[in-house]
Amino acid sequence: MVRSPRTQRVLLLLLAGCLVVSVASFAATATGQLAWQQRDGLAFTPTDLSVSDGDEPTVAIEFTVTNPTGVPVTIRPAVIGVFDGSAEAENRLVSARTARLADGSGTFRVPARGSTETTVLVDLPRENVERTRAAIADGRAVVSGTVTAELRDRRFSADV
Amino acid sequence: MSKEDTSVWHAALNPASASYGTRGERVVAALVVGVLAGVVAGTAMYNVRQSAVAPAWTSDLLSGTLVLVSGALVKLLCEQLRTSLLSLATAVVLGLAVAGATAVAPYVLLDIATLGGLALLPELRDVITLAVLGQVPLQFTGYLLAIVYDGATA
Repeated sequence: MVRSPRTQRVLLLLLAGCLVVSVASFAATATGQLAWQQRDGLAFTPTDLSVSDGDEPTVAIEFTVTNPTGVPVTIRPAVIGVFDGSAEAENRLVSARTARLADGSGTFRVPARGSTETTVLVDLPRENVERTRAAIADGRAVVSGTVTAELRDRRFSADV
Repeated sequence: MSKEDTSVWHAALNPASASYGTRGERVVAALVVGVLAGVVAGTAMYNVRQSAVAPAWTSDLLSGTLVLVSGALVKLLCEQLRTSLLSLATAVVLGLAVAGATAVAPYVLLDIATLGGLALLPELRDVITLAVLGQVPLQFTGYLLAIVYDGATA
């Protein structure tokens, strides 16, 4: 027995509903994939470095992090160091390599097509405090390293 | 609107009736339902393939359910057996085509080098694997469930 016109319309609407949900999730996922393909566009610009002298000297690095992709990215500082003059020669490393966020949290989020500012702390051996201060004052201090970034459920490393 | 246009619209909006109609009406019904179901399957399987960059609400379960339901709707909307099989074949082929196109599209849109097509091989392997192990079995299972439903309620 052929279905009634009303039932046929309802079934067609159900199929159209499936199509709407499927295309909407496709669009959201495609945005994520395009963002993943453009992840190299994530940019870290050190805007300020300052040395704090105390029981445990540290160098505070202020960053502006720009995310040109269409999806927010969560970032966890991993290995960031301060170098005197060049990051190429290992003996020019003046700080420790392990970085942490100044606010004590483990991660920070950069909005889609936006930027955020954050401060990262890196431990500084006491014997390098003056050398680091001089490098910053003379404009020779170079910040280099990598961070772990997470775009939805996918992780990658980004150079600083 | 000509009589032929009216007939096409009528067949598109009443595919179950059209599936028993003239050859033209059967083809229209099969293509309309098959194309819709194929796009559902292709886009849903894309979400499964790219689940790592998909938002949390687009789970594999949701995508699988959409493909299963679209397979069942093929049979429920195209009641006549041969018309429904044509519609199902259209849905399978179009689903594969959409999945293949979505695998290639990022490379074309973002002008990413494919190394003479080599970079596309893993993508196309995933498309074929998901089609063979996911899309086609789910569509076919949905289709069979609809036959069972029709049989039970006849």
